Amino acid sequence: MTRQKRKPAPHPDPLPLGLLIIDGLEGEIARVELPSGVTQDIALSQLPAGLKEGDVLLVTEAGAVIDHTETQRRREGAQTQLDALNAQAPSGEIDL
Amino acid sequence: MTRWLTTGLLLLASTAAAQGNLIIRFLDVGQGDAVLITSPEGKSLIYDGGRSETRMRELIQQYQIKNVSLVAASHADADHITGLVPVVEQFRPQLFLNNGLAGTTRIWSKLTSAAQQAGTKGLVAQDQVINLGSVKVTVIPPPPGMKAGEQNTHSVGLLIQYGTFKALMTGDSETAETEGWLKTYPASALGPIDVYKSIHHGAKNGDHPAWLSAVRPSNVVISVGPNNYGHPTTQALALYAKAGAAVYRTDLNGTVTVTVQPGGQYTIKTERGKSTPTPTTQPRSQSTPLVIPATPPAGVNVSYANCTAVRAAGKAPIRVGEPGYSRKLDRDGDGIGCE
Repeated sequence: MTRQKRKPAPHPDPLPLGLLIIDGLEGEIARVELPSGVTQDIALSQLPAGLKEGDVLLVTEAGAVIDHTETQRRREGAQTQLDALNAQAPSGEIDL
Repeated sequence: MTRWLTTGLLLLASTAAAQGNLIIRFLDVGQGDAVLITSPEGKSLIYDGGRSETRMRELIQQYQIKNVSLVAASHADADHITGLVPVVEQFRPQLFLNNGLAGTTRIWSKLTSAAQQAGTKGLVAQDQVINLGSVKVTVIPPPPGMKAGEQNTHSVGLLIQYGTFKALMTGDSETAETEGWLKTYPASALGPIDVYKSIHHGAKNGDHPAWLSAVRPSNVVISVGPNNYGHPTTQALALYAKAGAAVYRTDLNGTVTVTVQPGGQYTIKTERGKSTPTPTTQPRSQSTPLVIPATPPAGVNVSYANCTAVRAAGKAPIRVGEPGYSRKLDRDGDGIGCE
């Protein structure tokens, strides 16, 4: 009996380096914003466990980690900016 | 002389009256959502902007958009907000409707900075009516109790009413949010809906039987493009078929345009292709939909080796559904090849 060689699984593309931001989760796929601003779909299995929408990932040659400090910094900064924008909102029925 | 002048003025008046239609365009932006709503008075709002600034600029030109009074982000995901950036920069709308929950992405930051620079005021969604000229727009805010920090379940909905006509769009809301809305609003306040935007591009965590039995849609538009997520899912398509709704898909039909007359009668026109499946008869208390499919494109067997060939044929950019489109020509997978 000849032994069949097992075909190796295709190797996933390496993660883009730099600060990646999780824009959304779609099942087993994360839609990730790259440093260039464009989004790319990456399998969750390639990313650190437990990540959430909005998390910032630091990807280096050594691997990918969730950058909790940067996540918090961006979250607070963006929320402050949005709250300021929303502060002058008109109330009641609006006529455009 | 006076008689001719009077006749001329009457003709002008009747032409203006004939133009008194609400127009809703479900824009073909690839995988993402973007809906342009223009009142009979020529005032526009844009609900979501799709995932590409370039594509939105093309659409602004194509539909000769002259002004936008309000932009609405159903939520902060990139496939819903990216195209809002050029809209804000170009038209400086009065208001930016949002769910109050900031995103952490660079594109979110770019959008809010653009709004700030344009002098556009933010407006957090709450139970509120916005009159877009003579069109009534009811804001449907996220219901209480949604999980903190989740964008999809904080999607902002809009109910558009003109005469007896009703259209409903609810972003990428998920079951938790629609169940919350079912508790908040009586079913009669939601449906029957003449034109309904499929939740979350036809994802399996969006529409569900209880929600659709309240909405009772006659026509469903799925804003969708090439994607890795399996949108639209067979589950969602089966739900729409069961609801007896005609289904339009922007990946197959291009931009879907709904024209509503002052009484509420409406027509639906597609850029290409037909709705699927043929609508079943469903007792309706409101206007009768008239489906006017566009002529299918000729020469469907065309194929191009590369973008050079597409450009040489004068067909660039080439969009999904057009003769000769293929994924190999569309490197960023946004449904537009050889950009």
